[in-house]
Amino acid sequence: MDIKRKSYATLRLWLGLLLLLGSSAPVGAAAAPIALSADVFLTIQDMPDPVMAGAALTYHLYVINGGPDPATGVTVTGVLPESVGYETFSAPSGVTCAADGQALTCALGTLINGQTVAVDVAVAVDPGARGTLRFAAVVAGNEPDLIPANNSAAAQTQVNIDVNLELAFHDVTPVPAIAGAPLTYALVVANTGQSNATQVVLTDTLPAEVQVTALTPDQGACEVIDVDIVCALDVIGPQQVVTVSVVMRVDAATRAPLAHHARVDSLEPDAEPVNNARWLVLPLIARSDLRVQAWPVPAPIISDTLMLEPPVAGRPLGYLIHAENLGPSDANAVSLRVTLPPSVTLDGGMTSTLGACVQNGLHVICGPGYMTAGFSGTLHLTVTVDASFVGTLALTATISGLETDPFPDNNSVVVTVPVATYADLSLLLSAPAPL
Amino acid sequence: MNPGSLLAYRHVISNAGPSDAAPVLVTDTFPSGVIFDSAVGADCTGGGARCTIDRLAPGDVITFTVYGRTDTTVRGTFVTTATVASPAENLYPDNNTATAITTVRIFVYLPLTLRSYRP
Repeated sequence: MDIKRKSYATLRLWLGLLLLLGSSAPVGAAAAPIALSADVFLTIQDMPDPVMAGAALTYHLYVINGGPDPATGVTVTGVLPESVGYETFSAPSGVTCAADGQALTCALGTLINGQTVAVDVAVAVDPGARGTLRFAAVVAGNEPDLIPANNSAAAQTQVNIDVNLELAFHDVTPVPAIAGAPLTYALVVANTGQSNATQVVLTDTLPAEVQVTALTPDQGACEVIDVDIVCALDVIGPQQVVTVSVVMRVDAATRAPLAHHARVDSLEPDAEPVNNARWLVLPLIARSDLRVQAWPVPAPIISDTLMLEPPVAGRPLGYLIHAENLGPSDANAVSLRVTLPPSVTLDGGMTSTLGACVQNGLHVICGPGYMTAGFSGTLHLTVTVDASFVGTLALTATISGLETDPFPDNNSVVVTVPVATYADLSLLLSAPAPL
Repeated sequence: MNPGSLLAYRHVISNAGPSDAAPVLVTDTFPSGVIFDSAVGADCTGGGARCTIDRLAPGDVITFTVYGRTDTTVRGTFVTTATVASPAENLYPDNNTATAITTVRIFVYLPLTLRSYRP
């Protein structure tokens, strides 16, 4: 803060000397007009100093007319610092101020001898301002100013930084996380300070069991480096919120909770570093949608071609059982149990890609055991329908696993097929013999 | 044969499969002048003969005899037709019907006695 002052006593001395010289003129000579003068001078106070980048700053301008005459057409002109923006002014009635860009002009009108006018000019400091702000202004009136040195003043304001970055995980979906399923969340960085945060870097250290599939920052750029998501978010202004949307896939085999640790930093010191880092520990569950389907197929040549003709009593019949894990999680302890119709005989063998199968009476049990998400396999059975059977055959296939199944309705299937009967009867009739 | 004689019709029914035929129905159509009399080896009822066999598995062969009795009006050659059927579809129906041809000859005993009359 600079304050320019001028001794009013010194001014009065100079005026007295001028009047004395005037009184010594010869008698009878014509009186010369007395020139008017006014010593206007200016002081500037800045408040506050130092000021936070992004905060409001007020320049208090004091204009004083040291006389001896009234000062008319008094104006103050100055150039505001590049890093501030003019907001408004406050002054007595009749005083006006206006800014054209950084050029500030205040019209004070007439100040009588000894009058002081105070003008407050409010400016907003740019959130990106750094260093020192210097505001210089000059006051002038219509009358000659015998002491022009006090017509100008300046204020230098120290700029401090107020950055407070906060980090949070938002919109985590789903909770708990599901093995094998997408996991989405938003990393939200907010700057609750008054100043710009520059060179903001967000780092999210991921658990090993996830794979990032999409990163979408509001601004800047993100990349995955080893197990870290690293986002260069550039500048985050005061009260600005920047969101990074993250989509990842959780490993289908994992069963442990997922622990994320994220933090955000900027070039500026943070007012509250404790909220710059967050942990996200997500419980995890497994969901395996096991599905089994079954169809009758022609036999004895096993193929996946569906039967166009009904099976015939006394002839072979094939069954195709298709089991799969639709995920999203891998499935453990998977077992496929097929219950044959009582009117068939499993005499044509079985071919399985679902692990080893054993027959126990009417039941065939296959143990694929571990099924990764997306895995599918088949079991072919060739049976012979009892020749005496008439009606509809019903085969039941059921698959089960250790994990919770989100859609249990497709865990079991009953395939029914009507059976035709073909009997090639023949008749021989002997000619009668008379008795 | 003579009118009033019994005629023995021997039926041989077989099932080449693949399914069981159950029940099996055999129907004999006799000519006029022959009526059902009895049967051995199957349950049959008359006028013509309607014979029922509970079940005939693939490969099974069953034989039974139907007896018909002629009346005095039967003359000449006549044909008896037998048909076998079951609810199972028969892919080869040509061998489901058989016929038997019988010729009836009339034996008339007309004794002739010559006597002399004296006028």
